[in-house]
Amino acid sequence: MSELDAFFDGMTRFLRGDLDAAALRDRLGPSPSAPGRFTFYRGLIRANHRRVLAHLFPAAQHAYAGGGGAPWPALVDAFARAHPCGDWDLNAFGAAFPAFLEGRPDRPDAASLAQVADYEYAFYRVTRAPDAFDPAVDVVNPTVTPRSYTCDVPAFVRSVRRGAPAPLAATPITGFLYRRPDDRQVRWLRPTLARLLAFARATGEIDDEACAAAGVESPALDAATDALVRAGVLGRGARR
Amino acid sequence: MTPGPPAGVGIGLRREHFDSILQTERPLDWLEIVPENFIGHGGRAGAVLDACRERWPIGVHGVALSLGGPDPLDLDLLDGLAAVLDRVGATAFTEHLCFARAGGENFYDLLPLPFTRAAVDHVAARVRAARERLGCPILLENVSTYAVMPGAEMSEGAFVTAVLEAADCGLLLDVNNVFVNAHNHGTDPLDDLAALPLERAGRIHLAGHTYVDDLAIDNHGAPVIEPVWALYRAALEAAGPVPTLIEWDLHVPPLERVLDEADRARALMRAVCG
Repeated sequence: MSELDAFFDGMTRFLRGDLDAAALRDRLGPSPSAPGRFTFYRGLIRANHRRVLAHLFPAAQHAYAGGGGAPWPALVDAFARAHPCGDWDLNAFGAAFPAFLEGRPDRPDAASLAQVADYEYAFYRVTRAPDAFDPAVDVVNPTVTPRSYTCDVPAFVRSVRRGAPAPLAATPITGFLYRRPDDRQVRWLRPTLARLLAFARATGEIDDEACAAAGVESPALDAATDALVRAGVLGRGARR
Repeated sequence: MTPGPPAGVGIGLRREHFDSILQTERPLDWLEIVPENFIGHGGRAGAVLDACRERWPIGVHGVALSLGGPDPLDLDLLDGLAAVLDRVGATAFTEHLCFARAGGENFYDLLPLPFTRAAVDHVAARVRAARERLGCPILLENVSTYAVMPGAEMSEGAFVTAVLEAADCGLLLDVNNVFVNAHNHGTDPLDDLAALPLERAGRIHLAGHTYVDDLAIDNHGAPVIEPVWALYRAALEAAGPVPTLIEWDLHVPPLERVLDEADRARALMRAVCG
Protein backbone atom coordinates (compact mmCIF):
# COMPACT_ATOMS: atom_id res chain seq x y z
CA MET A 1 0.00 0.00 0.00
CA SER A 2 1.42 3.40 -0.98
CA GLU A 3 1.69 6.17 1.58
CA LEU A 4 -1.19 7.98 -0.10
CA ASP A 5 -3.36 4.85 -0.06
CA ALA A 6 -2.46 4.37 3.59
CA PHE A 7 -3.48 7.96 4.28
CA PHE A 8 -6.90 7.50 2.72
CA ASP A 9 -7.39 4.14 4.42
CA GLY A 10 -6.43 5.51 7.82
CA MET A 11 -8.49 8.69 7.47
CA THR A 12 -11.53 6.75 6.30
CA ARG A 13 -11.36 4.44 9.30
CA PHE A 14 -10.83 7.43 11.59
CA LEU A 15 -13.71 9.41 10.13
CA ARG A 16 -16.01 6.40 10.46
CA GLY A 17 -15.06 6.13 14.12
CA ASP A 18 -13.14 2.86 13.76
CA LEU A 19 -9.85 4.48 14.84
CA ASP A 20 -9.16 7.08 17.49
CA ALA A 21 -6.76 9.99 17.03
CA ALA A 22 -3.88 8.15 18.76
CA ALA A 23 -4.29 5.11 16.50
CA LEU A 24 -4.44 7.40 13.47
CA ARG A 25 -1.14 8.97 14.53
CA ASP A 26 0.40 5.52 14.98
CA ARG A 27 -0.64 4.62 11.43
CA LEU A 28 0.10 7.84 9.56
CA GLY A 29 2.76 9.51 11.62
CA PRO A 30 2.79 12.83 13.45
CA SER A 31 1.13 16.06 12.44
CA PRO A 32 1.83 19.57 13.73
CA SER A 33 -1.88 19.73 14.59
CA ALA A 34 -3.21 18.51 17.93
CA PRO A 35 -5.28 15.28 17.98
CA GLY A 36 -8.38 17.31 18.79
CA ARG A 37 -8.13 19.00 15.41
CA PHE A 38 -8.57 15.62 13.71
CA THR A 39 -11.45 14.71 15.97
CA PHE A 40 -13.05 17.98 14.92
CA TYR A 41 -13.36 16.62 11.38
CA ARG A 42 -15.26 13.61 12.69
CA GLY A 43 -17.59 16.01 14.46
CA LEU A 44 -18.09 17.98 11.26
CA ILE A 45 -19.19 14.87 9.41
CA ARG A 46 -21.61 13.91 12.17
CA ALA A 47 -22.97 17.44 12.14
CA ASN A 48 -23.49 17.17 8.38
CA HIS A 49 -25.50 13.97 8.86
CA ARG A 50 -27.68 15.65 11.47
CA ARG A 51 -28.14 18.75 9.33
CA VAL A 52 -29.26 16.72 6.31
CA LEU A 53 -31.76 14.65 8.28
CA ALA A 54 -33.07 17.69 10.16
CA HIS A 55 -33.65 19.39 6.81
CA LEU A 56 -35.38 16.39 5.25
CA PHE A 57 -37.31 15.14 8.28
CA PRO A 58 -38.34 18.01 10.58
CA ALA A 59 -41.69 16.41 11.41
CA ALA A 60 -40.22 12.97 12.03
CA GLN A 61 -37.66 14.60 14.33
CA HIS A 62 -40.46 16.39 16.17
CA ALA A 63 -42.48 13.19 16.51
CA TYR A 64 -39.40 11.31 17.71
CA ALA A 65 -38.53 13.82 20.42
CA GLY A 66 -39.63 12.91 23.89
CA GLY A 67 -40.84 9.46 22.95
CA GLY A 68 -38.08 7.49 24.60
CA GLY A 69 -35.18 5.56 23.16
CA ALA A 70 -31.91 7.03 21.97
CA PRO A 71 -31.68 10.82 21.68
CA TRP A 72 -32.02 12.12 18.11
CA PRO A 73 -28.27 12.79 17.59
CA ALA A 74 -27.46 9.25 18.70
CA LEU A 75 -30.18 7.94 16.41
CA VAL A 76 -28.63 9.80 13.46
CA ASP A 77 -25.18 8.47 14.33
CA ALA A 78 -26.56 4.93 14.46
CA PHE A 79 -28.29 5.45 11.11
CA ALA A 80 -25.09 6.79 9.51
CA ARG A 81 -23.14 3.76 10.75
CA ALA A 82 -25.81 1.37 9.47
CA HIS A 83 -26.32 3.15 6.14
CA PRO A 84 -23.11 4.81 4.93
CA CYS A 85 -24.06 6.74 1.83
CA GLY A 86 -22.07 6.51 -1.37
CA ASP A 87 -24.26 8.84 -3.36
CA TRP A 88 -22.84 12.24 -4.27
CA ASP A 89 -26.26 13.76 -3.53
CA LEU A 90 -26.28 14.39 0.21
CA ASN A 91 -30.08 14.22 0.29
CA ALA A 92 -29.83 10.61 -0.85
CA PHE A 93 -28.44 9.98 2.64
CA GLY A 94 -32.04 10.18 3.87
CA ALA A 95 -33.49 7.59 1.50
CA ALA A 96 -33.15 4.68 3.92
CA PHE A 97 -34.19 6.63 6.99
CA PRO A 98 -37.93 5.78 6.97
CA ALA A 99 -37.18 2.03 6.92
CA PHE A 100 -34.54 2.54 9.61
CA LEU A 101 -37.12 4.22 11.84
CA GLU A 102 -39.61 1.44 11.22
CA GLY A 103 -37.08 -1.06 12.54
CA ARG A 104 -36.42 0.72 15.83
CA PRO A 105 -37.08 -1.85 18.55
CA ASP A 106 -37.10 0.78 21.30
CA ARG A 107 -40.04 2.73 19.91
CA PRO A 108 -43.60 1.41 20.08
CA ASP A 109 -44.57 4.17 17.63
CA ALA A 110 -41.94 3.08 15.08
CA ALA A 111 -44.54 2.39 12.39
CA SER A 112 -46.06 5.87 12.54
CA LEU A 113 -42.62 7.51 12.76
CA ALA A 114 -41.69 5.66 9.60
CA GLN A 115 -44.85 6.89 7.88
CA VAL A 116 -44.05 10.50 8.76
CA ALA A 117 -40.51 10.10 7.44
CA ASP A 118 -41.77 8.37 4.31
CA TYR A 119 -44.09 11.27 3.56
CA GLU A 120 -41.35 13.83 4.13
CA TYR A 121 -38.91 12.04 1.85
CA ALA A 122 -41.58 11.59 -0.81
CA PHE A 123 -42.33 15.31 -0.53
CA TYR A 124 -38.66 16.11 -1.10
CA ARG A 125 -38.50 13.81 -4.12
CA VAL A 126 -41.63 15.32 -5.66
CA THR A 127 -40.30 18.83 -5.06
CA ARG A 128 -37.09 18.06 -6.97
CA ALA A 129 -38.47 15.68 -9.63
CA PRO A 130 -37.50 16.50 -13.23
CA ASP A 131 -39.83 18.69 -15.29
CA ALA A 132 -41.12 15.86 -17.46
CA PHE A 133 -44.85 16.51 -17.65
CA ASP A 134 -46.65 18.16 -20.55
CA PRO A 135 -50.25 18.55 -19.34
CA ALA A 136 -51.44 19.24 -22.88
CA VAL A 137 -50.57 15.78 -24.16
CA ASP A 138 -49.38 13.47 -21.39
CA VAL A 139 -51.67 11.05 -19.57
CA VAL A 140 -50.26 11.06 -16.05
CA ASN A 141 -48.18 13.61 -14.17
CA PRO A 142 -45.02 11.56 -13.40
CA THR A 143 -44.54 13.30 -10.06
CA VAL A 144 -47.75 11.73 -8.71
CA THR A 145 -46.85 9.58 -5.70
CA PRO A 146 -49.81 7.66 -4.27
CA ARG A 147 -49.60 7.00 -0.55
CA SER A 148 -51.76 5.33 2.10
CA TYR A 149 -51.09 5.85 5.79
CA THR A 150 -52.72 4.62 8.98
CA CYS A 151 -52.45 8.13 10.46
CA ASP A 152 -53.12 11.59 9.03
CA VAL A 153 -49.46 12.13 8.25
CA PRO A 154 -49.90 15.03 5.79
CA ALA A 155 -51.81 17.13 8.32
CA PHE A 156 -49.22 16.41 10.99
CA VAL A 157 -46.31 17.36 8.72
CA ARG A 158 -48.07 20.57 7.66
CA SER A 159 -48.63 21.51 11.30
CA VAL A 160 -44.98 21.01 12.17
CA ARG A 161 -43.81 23.01 9.17
CA ARG A 162 -46.17 25.84 10.15
CA GLY A 163 -44.59 25.87 13.60
CA ALA A 164 -47.79 24.79 15.36
CA PRO A 165 -47.45 21.02 15.79
CA ALA A 166 -50.72 19.13 16.14
CA PRO A 167 -51.05 15.55 17.42
CA LEU A 168 -50.65 12.80 14.85
CA ALA A 169 -54.28 11.74 14.43
CA ALA A 170 -54.92 8.01 14.05
CA THR A 171 -57.00 8.57 10.93
CA PRO A 172 -56.26 6.34 7.93
CA ILE A 173 -55.69 8.40 4.81
CA THR A 174 -55.00 7.81 1.11
CA GLY A 175 -53.97 10.42 -1.41
CA PHE A 176 -51.68 11.69 -4.12
CA LEU A 177 -48.58 13.71 -3.44
CA TYR A 178 -47.65 15.56 -6.63
CA ARG A 179 -46.28 18.77 -8.11
CA ARG A 180 -48.64 20.97 -10.06
CA PRO A 181 -47.23 21.92 -13.44
CA ASP A 182 -48.52 25.50 -13.34
CA ASP A 183 -47.25 26.91 -10.05
CA ARG A 184 -44.76 24.08 -9.32
CA GLN A 185 -46.14 23.75 -5.80
CA VAL A 186 -46.29 20.32 -4.18
CA ARG A 187 -49.84 19.30 -3.20
CA TRP A 188 -51.52 16.50 -1.27
CA LEU A 189 -54.83 15.51 -2.85
CA ARG A 190 -57.33 13.17 -1.20
CA PRO A 191 -59.28 11.68 -4.08
CA THR A 192 -62.87 10.55 -4.05
CA LEU A 193 -63.51 6.95 -5.01
CA ALA A 194 -64.37 8.08 -8.55
CA ARG A 195 -61.13 10.04 -8.85
CA LEU A 196 -59.11 7.17 -7.44
CA LEU A 197 -60.64 4.87 -10.04
CA ALA A 198 -60.16 7.47 -12.78
CA PHE A 199 -56.49 7.67 -11.89
CA ALA A 200 -56.17 3.88 -11.90
CA ARG A 201 -57.95 3.77 -15.28
CA ALA A 202 -55.59 6.41 -16.69
CA THR A 203 -52.55 4.44 -15.58
CA GLY A 204 -54.00 1.30 -17.16
CA GLU A 205 -54.32 -0.60 -13.91
CA ILE A 206 -58.08 -1.14 -14.30
CA ASP A 207 -60.68 -0.83 -17.04
CA ASP A 208 -64.19 0.60 -17.23
CA GLU A 209 -65.69 -2.75 -16.36
CA ALA A 210 -63.79 -2.94 -13.10
CA CYS A 211 -64.79 0.64 -12.31
CA ALA A 212 -68.42 -0.21 -12.92
CA ALA A 213 -68.08 -3.21 -10.64
CA ALA A 214 -66.88 -0.78 -7.98
CA GLY A 215 -70.01 1.29 -8.54
CA VAL A 216 -68.63 4.09 -10.72
CA GLU A 217 -69.95 4.26 -14.27
CA SER A 218 -68.25 5.88 -17.28
CA PRO A 219 -69.87 9.35 -17.09
CA ALA A 220 -68.77 9.73 -13.48
CA LEU A 221 -65.31 8.43 -14.38
CA ASP A 222 -65.01 10.97 -17.18
CA ALA A 223 -66.04 13.77 -14.84
CA ALA A 224 -63.51 12.56 -12.29
CA THR A 225 -60.85 12.46 -15.00
CA ASP A 226 -61.65 16.06 -15.92
CA ALA A 227 -61.30 17.07 -12.28
CA LEU A 228 -57.91 15.37 -12.04
CA VAL A 229 -56.78 17.10 -15.25
CA ARG A 230 -57.77 20.45 -13.76
CA ALA A 231 -55.88 19.59 -10.58
CA GLY A 232 -52.74 18.70 -12.56
CA VAL A 233 -52.70 15.05 -11.51
CA LEU A 234 -53.54 13.86 -15.02
CA GLY A 235 -52.83 15.40 -18.41
CA ARG A 236 -55.28 15.97 -21.23
CA GLY A 237 -54.08 12.72 -22.75
CA ALA A 238 -56.12 10.96 -20.08
CA ARG A 239 -59.42 12.28 -21.45
CA ARG A 240 -61.53 9.84 -23.44
CA MET B 1 -29.53 35.68 -24.85
CA THR B 2 -27.16 34.19 -22.29
CA PRO B 3 -24.79 36.67 -20.63
CA GLY B 4 -21.02 36.11 -20.92
CA PRO B 5 -18.58 34.84 -18.31
CA PRO B 6 -18.61 36.19 -14.75
CA ALA B 7 -16.97 39.56 -14.13
CA GLY B 8 -17.19 42.03 -11.27
CA VAL B 9 -18.88 40.92 -8.06
CA GLY B 10 -21.58 38.29 -7.65
CA ILE B 11 -23.40 36.36 -4.96
CA GLY B 12 -24.50 32.77 -4.51
CA LEU B 13 -28.00 31.88 -5.71
CA ARG B 14 -29.72 30.65 -2.57
CA ARG B 15 -33.19 29.21 -2.03
CA GLU B 16 -33.88 31.88 0.59
CA HIS B 17 -33.65 34.52 -2.16
CA PHE B 18 -35.75 32.82 -4.83
CA ASP B 19 -38.59 35.28 -4.24
CA SER B 20 -36.43 38.41 -4.26
CA ILE B 21 -33.54 37.78 -6.64
CA LEU B 22 -35.47 38.37 -9.85
CA GLN B 23 -37.04 41.53 -8.44
CA THR B 24 -33.84 43.28 -7.49
CA GLU B 25 -32.71 46.37 -9.38
CA ARG B 26 -29.48 46.71 -7.42
CA PRO B 27 -26.09 46.15 -9.04
CA LEU B 28 -25.30 42.46 -9.29
CA ASP B 29 -22.76 41.22 -11.80
CA TRP B 30 -23.09 37.44 -11.65
CA LEU B 31 -24.50 34.51 -9.72
CA GLU B 32 -22.93 31.29 -8.58
CA ILE B 33 -24.75 27.99 -8.16
CA VAL B 34 -23.94 24.68 -6.56
CA PRO B 35 -24.63 22.46 -9.57
CA GLU B 36 -25.37 19.36 -7.51
CA ASN B 37 -28.58 21.11 -6.45
CA PHE B 38 -29.78 21.14 -10.05
CA ILE B 39 -28.63 17.84 -11.57
CA GLY B 40 -31.72 15.98 -12.72
CA HIS B 41 -33.92 18.28 -10.72
CA GLY B 42 -36.88 20.31 -11.91
CA GLY B 43 -39.50 22.32 -10.10
CA ARG B 44 -39.22 25.85 -8.87
CA ALA B 45 -35.44 25.83 -8.35
CA GLY B 46 -34.85 24.98 -11.98
CA ALA B 47 -37.32 27.61 -13.15
CA VAL B 48 -35.63 30.29 -11.05
CA LEU B 49 -32.23 29.24 -12.39
CA ASP B 50 -33.45 29.44 -15.98
CA ALA B 51 -34.81 32.94 -15.38
CA CYS B 52 -31.58 34.05 -13.68
CA ARG B 53 -29.35 32.82 -16.48
CA GLU B 54 -31.19 35.12 -18.87
CA ARG B 55 -30.13 38.07 -16.75
CA TRP B 56 -26.76 37.24 -15.20
CA PRO B 57 -23.68 35.18 -15.97
CA ILE B 58 -23.73 31.99 -13.90
CA GLY B 59 -20.68 30.49 -12.23
CA VAL B 60 -20.79 26.77 -11.45
CA HIS B 61 -19.13 25.69 -8.19
CA GLY B 62 -19.19 21.98 -7.40
CA VAL B 63 -18.91 20.43 -3.97
CA ALA B 64 -19.17 16.67 -4.48
CA LEU B 65 -16.64 15.59 -7.09
CA SER B 66 -13.95 14.61 -4.57
CA LEU B 67 -11.19 15.51 -7.00
CA GLY B 68 -8.50 14.55 -4.52
CA GLY B 69 -10.13 11.33 -3.35
CA PRO B 70 -9.09 7.72 -3.78
CA ASP B 71 -12.33 6.42 -5.31
CA PRO B 72 -12.78 6.49 -9.10
CA LEU B 73 -14.22 9.71 -10.46
CA ASP B 74 -18.00 9.51 -10.59
CA LEU B 75 -18.70 9.64 -14.32
CA ASP B 76 -22.46 10.01 -13.82
CA LEU B 77 -21.84 13.03 -11.63
CA LEU B 78 -19.42 14.46 -14.18
CA ASP B 79 -22.01 14.05 -16.92
CA GLY B 80 -24.62 15.70 -14.71
CA LEU B 81 -22.25 18.57 -14.05
CA ALA B 82 -21.60 18.92 -17.78
CA ALA B 83 -25.34 19.15 -18.37
CA VAL B 84 -25.66 21.93 -15.80
CA LEU B 85 -22.68 23.78 -17.30
CA ASP B 86 -24.37 23.56 -20.67
CA ARG B 87 -27.75 24.60 -19.26
CA VAL B 88 -26.39 27.85 -17.83
CA GLY B 89 -23.82 28.51 -20.55
CA ALA B 90 -20.89 28.39 -18.13
CA THR B 91 -17.38 28.51 -19.56
CA ALA B 92 -15.55 27.07 -16.54
CA PHE B 93 -16.12 24.77 -13.59
CA THR B 94 -14.81 25.37 -10.09
CA GLU B 95 -14.29 22.76 -7.36
CA HIS B 96 -12.28 22.21 -4.21
CA LEU B 97 -8.76 20.92 -3.77
CA CYS B 98 -9.77 18.23 -1.31
CA PHE B 99 -11.37 14.83 -0.97
CA ALA B 100 -14.95 14.18 0.08
CA ARG B 101 -15.38 10.47 -0.58
CA ALA B 102 -13.32 7.42 0.31
CA GLY B 103 -13.94 3.71 0.63
CA GLY B 104 -17.26 4.07 -1.16
CA GLU B 105 -18.62 6.48 1.44
CA ASN B 106 -19.36 10.14 0.86
CA PHE B 107 -18.54 12.26 3.89
CA TYR B 108 -20.23 15.41 2.57
CA ASP B 109 -17.36 17.60 3.70
CA LEU B 110 -14.26 19.12 2.13
CA LEU B 111 -11.41 17.13 3.64
CA PRO B 112 -7.80 18.24 3.22
CA LEU B 113 -5.16 16.22 1.43
CA PRO B 114 -1.64 15.56 2.67
CA PHE B 115 0.76 18.11 1.21
CA THR B 116 2.89 15.51 -0.55
CA ARG B 117 4.28 15.04 -4.06
CA ALA B 118 2.28 11.82 -4.39
CA ALA B 119 -0.93 13.72 -3.64
CA VAL B 120 0.04 16.38 -6.19
CA ASP B 121 0.43 13.78 -8.92
CA HIS B 122 -2.74 11.96 -7.86
CA VAL B 123 -5.05 14.97 -7.85
CA ALA B 124 -3.52 16.57 -10.95
CA ALA B 125 -4.22 13.43 -12.98
CA ARG B 126 -7.82 13.40 -11.78
CA VAL B 127 -8.29 17.09 -12.55
CA ARG B 128 -7.06 16.50 -16.10
CA ALA B 129 -9.45 13.57 -16.50
CA ALA B 130 -12.37 15.57 -15.11
CA ARG B 131 -11.58 18.49 -17.39
CA GLU B 132 -11.61 16.21 -20.41
CA ARG B 133 -14.99 14.78 -19.43
CA LEU B 134 -16.48 18.22 -18.68
CA GLY B 135 -15.00 19.85 -21.75
CA CYS B 136 -14.13 23.11 -19.99
CA PRO B 137 -11.41 24.61 -17.77
CA ILE B 138 -11.36 23.81 -14.06
CA LEU B 139 -10.42 26.18 -11.26
CA LEU B 140 -9.49 24.69 -7.88
CA GLU B 141 -10.27 26.33 -4.57
CA ASN B 142 -7.86 26.42 -1.64
CA VAL B 143 -9.95 24.86 1.13
CA SER B 144 -10.22 25.75 4.80
CA THR B 145 -8.33 23.36 7.06
CA TYR B 146 -8.48 22.60 10.75
CA ALA B 147 -5.55 20.19 10.85
CA VAL B 148 -2.41 19.63 8.82
CA MET B 149 -2.59 16.09 7.53
CA PRO B 150 0.29 13.77 8.49
CA GLY B 151 3.21 13.34 6.15
CA ALA B 152 3.35 16.92 4.83
CA GLU B 153 6.38 17.51 2.62
CA MET B 154 5.60 21.11 1.70
CA SER B 155 3.53 24.14 2.71
CA GLU B 156 -0.07 24.63 1.61
CA GLY B 157 1.01 27.36 -0.81
CA ALA B 158 3.61 25.10 -2.40
CA PHE B 159 1.10 22.25 -2.58
CA VAL B 160 -1.58 24.34 -4.27
CA THR B 161 0.97 25.75 -6.68
CA ALA B 162 2.29 22.31 -7.56
CA VAL B 163 -1.18 20.89 -8.18
CA LEU B 164 -2.27 23.81 -10.35
CA GLU B 165 0.93 23.65 -12.38
CA ALA B 166 0.75 19.86 -12.80
CA ALA B 167 -2.90 20.02 -13.80
CA ASP B 168 -2.49 23.31 -15.67
CA CYS B 169 -5.64 24.71 -14.14
CA GLY B 170 -6.78 27.93 -12.54
CA LEU B 171 -7.12 29.05 -8.93
CA LEU B 172 -10.34 29.90 -7.18
CA LEU B 173 -8.81 32.00 -4.45
CA ASP B 174 -10.89 31.79 -1.27
CA VAL B 175 -9.60 34.75 0.71
CA ASN B 176 -11.54 33.82 3.83
CA ASN B 177 -9.96 30.37 3.76
CA VAL B 178 -6.50 31.96 3.66
CA PHE B 179 -7.40 33.91 6.79
CA VAL B 180 -9.03 30.93 8.54
CA ASN B 181 -6.09 28.65 7.82
CA ALA B 182 -3.55 31.22 8.99
CA HIS B 183 -5.47 31.57 12.25
CA ASN B 184 -5.79 27.83 12.71
CA HIS B 185 -2.16 27.03 11.95
CA GLY B 186 -0.47 30.10 13.40
CA THR B 187 0.87 31.56 10.17
CA ASP B 188 0.76 35.02 8.61
CA PRO B 189 -2.19 35.37 6.21
CA LEU B 190 -0.36 37.85 3.97
CA ASP B 191 2.56 35.45 3.63
CA ASP B 192 0.16 32.57 2.95
CA LEU B 193 -1.67 34.63 0.34
CA ALA B 194 1.59 35.52 -1.41
CA ALA B 195 2.58 31.85 -1.47
CA LEU B 196 -0.45 30.94 -3.57
CA PRO B 197 -0.22 31.02 -7.39
CA LEU B 198 -2.16 34.28 -7.67
CA GLU B 199 -1.24 34.63 -11.34
CA ARG B 200 -3.62 31.71 -11.93
CA ALA B 201 -6.53 33.26 -10.00
CA GLY B 202 -9.69 33.26 -12.10
CA ARG B 203 -12.23 33.69 -9.29
CA ILE B 204 -12.23 34.94 -5.72
CA HIS B 205 -14.51 33.92 -2.86
CA LEU B 206 -15.25 36.08 0.17
CA ALA B 207 -17.19 34.85 3.19
CA GLY B 208 -17.65 35.15 6.90
CA HIS B 209 -16.59 32.63 9.50
CA THR B 210 -17.09 31.81 13.16
CA TYR B 211 -15.03 30.54 16.06
CA VAL B 212 -15.30 27.46 18.22
CA ASP B 213 -12.80 27.68 21.07
CA ASP B 214 -9.49 28.47 19.39
CA LEU B 215 -10.56 27.28 15.95
CA ALA B 216 -11.79 29.53 13.13
CA ILE B 217 -14.57 27.74 11.24
CA ASP B 218 -15.34 28.57 7.62
CA ASN B 219 -19.12 28.45 7.99
CA HIS B 220 -20.21 31.12 5.46
CA GLY B 221 -22.66 32.32 8.08
CA ALA B 222 -21.61 35.88 8.88
CA PRO B 223 -20.40 39.12 7.28
CA VAL B 224 -16.86 39.33 5.94
CA ILE B 225 -14.64 40.62 8.75
CA GLU B 226 -12.27 43.58 8.40
CA PRO B 227 -9.03 41.56 8.29
CA VAL B 228 -10.46 39.52 5.42
CA TRP B 229 -11.40 42.71 3.57
CA ALA B 230 -7.79 43.83 4.02
CA LEU B 231 -6.59 40.51 2.65
CA TYR B 232 -8.98 40.89 -0.29
CA ARG B 233 -7.41 44.27 -1.06
CA ALA B 234 -4.00 42.63 -1.09
CA ALA B 235 -5.32 39.91 -3.39
CA LEU B 236 -6.71 42.49 -5.82
CA GLU B 237 -3.43 44.38 -5.77
CA ALA B 238 -1.60 41.20 -6.67
CA ALA B 239 -4.04 39.52 -9.03
CA GLY B 240 -6.10 42.35 -10.54
CA PRO B 241 -9.89 42.57 -10.91
CA VAL B 242 -10.64 38.86 -10.54
CA PRO B 243 -14.39 38.06 -10.57
CA THR B 244 -15.40 37.92 -6.92
CA LEU B 245 -18.22 36.18 -5.09
CA ILE B 246 -19.84 36.81 -1.71
CA GLU B 247 -20.67 33.44 -0.13
CA TRP B 248 -23.38 33.42 2.53
CA ASP B 249 -24.84 29.96 3.01
CA LEU B 250 -25.72 29.72 6.70
CA HIS B 251 -28.03 32.06 8.62
CA VAL B 252 -28.74 33.57 5.20
CA PRO B 253 -29.93 37.18 5.64
CA PRO B 254 -32.28 39.06 3.29
CA LEU B 255 -30.94 39.61 -0.22
CA GLU B 256 -30.35 43.31 0.46
CA ARG B 257 -27.80 42.49 3.16
CA VAL B 258 -25.85 40.16 0.90
CA LEU B 259 -25.90 42.78 -1.84
CA ASP B 260 -24.48 45.28 0.66
CA GLU B 261 -21.45 43.01 0.96
CA ALA B 262 -21.24 42.75 -2.81
CA ASP B 263 -21.36 46.55 -3.08
CA ARG B 264 -18.45 46.84 -0.70
CA ALA B 265 -16.42 44.30 -2.66
CA ARG B 266 -17.22 46.07 -5.94
CA ALA B 267 -16.19 49.45 -4.51
CA LEU B 268 -12.93 47.96 -3.29
CA MET B 269 -12.28 46.32 -6.65
CA ARG B 270 -12.81 49.66 -8.41
CA ALA B 271 -10.63 51.51 -5.91
CA VAL B 272 -7.76 49.05 -6.30
CA CYS B 273 -8.06 48.07 -9.95
CA GLY B 274 -9.70 51.10 -11.51
